[in-house]
This record gives sequence, C-alpha cells and structure tokens, in this order.
Amino acid sequence: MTDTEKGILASIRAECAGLPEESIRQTLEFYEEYIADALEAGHSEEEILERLGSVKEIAAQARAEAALTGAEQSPGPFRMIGAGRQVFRGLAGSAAKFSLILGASIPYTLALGLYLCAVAAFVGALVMAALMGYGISTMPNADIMAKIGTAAAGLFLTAFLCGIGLGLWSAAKGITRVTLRVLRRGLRRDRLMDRQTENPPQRTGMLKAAFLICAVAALIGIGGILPSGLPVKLFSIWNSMKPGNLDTRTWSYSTAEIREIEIAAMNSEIVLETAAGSQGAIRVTYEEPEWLTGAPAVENKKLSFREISSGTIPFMDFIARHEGMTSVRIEVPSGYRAKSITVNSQSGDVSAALPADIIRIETTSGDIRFEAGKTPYRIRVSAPRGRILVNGKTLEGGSYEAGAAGGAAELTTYDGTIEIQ
Amino acid sequence: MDPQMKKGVLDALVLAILKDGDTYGYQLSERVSGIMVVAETALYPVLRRLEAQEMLSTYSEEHSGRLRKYYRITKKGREKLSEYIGELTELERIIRTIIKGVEKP
Repeated sequence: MTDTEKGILASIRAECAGLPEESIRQTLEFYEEYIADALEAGHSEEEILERLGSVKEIAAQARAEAALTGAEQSPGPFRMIGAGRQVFRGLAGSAAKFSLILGASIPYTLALGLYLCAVAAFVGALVMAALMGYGISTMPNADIMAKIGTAAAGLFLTAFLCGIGLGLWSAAKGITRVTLRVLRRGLRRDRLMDRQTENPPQRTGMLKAAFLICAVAALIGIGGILPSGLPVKLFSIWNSMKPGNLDTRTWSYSTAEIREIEIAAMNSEIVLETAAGSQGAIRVTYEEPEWLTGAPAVENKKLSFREISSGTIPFMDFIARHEGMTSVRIEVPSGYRAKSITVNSQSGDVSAALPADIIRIETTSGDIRFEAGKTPYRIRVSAPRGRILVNGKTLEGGSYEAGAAGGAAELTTYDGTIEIQ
Repeated sequence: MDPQMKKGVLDALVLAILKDGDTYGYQLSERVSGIMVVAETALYPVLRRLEAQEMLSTYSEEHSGRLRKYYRITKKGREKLSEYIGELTELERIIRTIIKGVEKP
C-alpha cells in the first residue's frame, strides 16, 4: 500500500470517527479494494483521488446515513438534532441545504416544542410530589385523614402530569419519525442515498406500560382523596376565603406595658398607626382566616405577634398569598413612641405611621408605605426589584438613603414598592 | 441527468451488469461509468443497499495477495431486474414519444 493510499484511507477513517466500527470497516474495505484495483489498472493516485471526490464527502455521507438509522431506531430529541446536523453537513449543494431547512424546520420546531412541554410536565409532576411531601411532613400527626388525602391528591396530580408528559413525548416521537423521513428524502435526492426498506422496530410496549402505571396511580389517588374528606375541606377553605368569614380577634395592652413591637406575618396586610379612639391602650386586631393563625405575646415589655400557616394544604398558601384580605392592625394612642418596631412580612403589604426610635421593615413581595410624620428620621430603604416612592416621586435604582437624627428606619422589600411620605 | 432519474436507473443498471456475470467493485464502477455519468461514491451505498435487500450476495476471492469482494446477483435480484425492465420498457415508450413530439389527436 502506498503512502497516498494509506493517507486517503486514514482520512476516511478519521472523518468516520464516531460511526459504528462495522460500518467504518466495510467502508474502508470497499475503498481500499477500489484504490488497489484502480492502481493496478494503471491510474495514477491523483486521478483516483479526483474520481473518488472529497474524502470528507464520503465520510459525511456515511455519517449522515448512520445518524439517520440510529435516530430511526430510537427517536429522541438529541438523536433527532444529531441526525439533522449530520444530514445538513452531508448535503452537497446549498440548494439542497436550503430545501432541507424549509422542509424540516416546521416538524423540527413542533417536535422539539413537544419534547420541551413533556419535560415541563415531568418536572411539574416532581414539584407536585415534593410539595405534597412537604405538606404531609408539616402536618400534625393527629391529622391522619388529611395526610392520607393530601398524599392521594399528590399521587393523582403526579400521575396525571406524568401521563400528560408521556402523551406529549410520544406525540413528539411521532413527529420525529416524520421529520426523519423528510431528512432521508433530502439526503436521497442529493446523493442517491440508501432507501429505507423496512420500518424500524417501534418500541411502544414500554410506553403503554408507563401509561398504564400512570392511570392506575391516578385511580388510586382518586380513591384516596374521596374518603379522606379533602374535597370538603378544600371547599370549606375556599368558602372561608370570603372576607365576611374572617374571625376578628382583638387584644389590648397598656402603653406602659410595651416598649418594643415585633410582628412576623405570612400573608396578612400589616398596619401600624396612631388612633384617637384607642383610649390610652395599645390595641392589636387580627382578622384570622382558616388557613392562618396568630396571637400576640408580651415578654420583657416586648409585644410579639407571630402568624403561622395552619399548613395542611401547601398549595392553598399560594392562593392565600395573592388574596391579602386579612390584616394585622396595631393602634396606639397619639403621643406614644415605641423604642423599636420590627416587621417581617412574607408577602403582605406593610403600612407604618408610628413614631419609634428604630423601625425595621422587611417584606419579600409586599409593598411598604412609610409615613415619617413630623419626626425627623434617618431612613435607609432597599427594594432590589421593586420601586421606591418618596413623596410621590419614583426614585431611580433600588435603594434610597436620607437622614436626620431622631430615629432610624430600615425598609426592605424584594420586589414590592416602598412609599415614603 | 436529474439525480432522481439517476437513482431510479442505477439500481437496475447494477443488477443488469451483474446478470452478465459476477464482478468486483472497481470493475463494476468502470462499467457503470462507461454507460452513465455518476459519482464514484454513489456506487458504494447502492451496493450496500442491494446487499441488505438480498438482491445480491458477496464472496471474496484472492487476487495478487489480497482479497477482492465479488458481487453476485441473487434470485430475488433477477426477479427485481425483470420488474425494472418491465417498468423501463413502459418508460421507454413514453420517452420516445416525448422525444419524437406528442402528436395532436
């Protein structure tokens, strides 16, 4: 074998890297024999090379063929993308490439979109399962029926989403097959390619089994939800979300009793204000819905109010977060000034018009409205993703500092609005 | 010639050449290119396909110290060839008419 011949074969091998070994071996054997015979017939190496055409083309063709066969045997997003790329590279003319893009772009977009939706459904199923798992773990042990109901609801939702995911996935596979046919036709037209003679084996057995498992799991879920009383509970919570059904509770403390106020709430709106009618007492009013509970406690002249979720059904919290119809209200007589006020709210709005030496307000997604009043304040506010309004004017950027002696206020919201007057 | 047309006749041509007797890659390529203009690299996929479809079988024979792969037409290949010939005869009649010019009825 001459050096040139070896060179040609080596570059075919190099270009074929990644193809099945058997396919490379056969291709090399054919061209090796061809070159030997052509040399024997008296052709020069240059002549043979010219007649064979570019080595890259031979390899590109072999590669495209292998990628298509692989993708047809087990269609999936990655193999489909791979086959498309190889066929595109394997096509010789730019006209052929253009018509390939034209013919395959719609089914490609469709199939990839469906694959993405399927993945989203699977992820959704996982999130649902995790959410329910968390909900069950935070429930009191006595609530065994609620635990069963939540577990069953989780099973049903997870299975339902998995089923949707599987359906989308198999639809995407069907479109992939059509796409591969389009690709093969493009390659064939361009290069006298192999014709697909038999339909590749379709492995639908596993898919059917997965569907069946989902269906059985969903049925078990429904079977568990109904007797657990969860639907009734859900309905009663839904019902209790009307403002009229809130349970209003009030506590009263003398001003001498309290120097510090600390409030931690989940979803309620928090209002701190001076009220003429409070008759010398500090009054705490809480509108308690069914899914939240809270009460004040006094220790070392510090009033703490903590609101917690009754937490039986995690997704109801999400609904509650957007309702914001409940409130924690603290009213003090005029002339009262607390040593410090600290407010920590998860998602409720906070409105403060109470003088204090130090005011610290933090909320994740609620708005903050702060009235400094006549007392000079040193104010530091920060709203990384929200808005800050000072006397009705919007400030550029997410933070604001202004100052005077007399008191200190620190206001923080993640994506809400801060308004200072 | 249009690649689609070439594709249609290349299979038939290979089978027709093999009907005359067994032959090896290079010789086959020479004979094909003596009849029609086709890329050298187009022949290999055709041979692989015909072999996969059992239209032809292969065997190896020694030739000056190396192995040569010979292609032989099978019974199925012969049947396919006569099928092709039938189709091409029909096509020939149409082509002749096209070349001669279609007469008004």
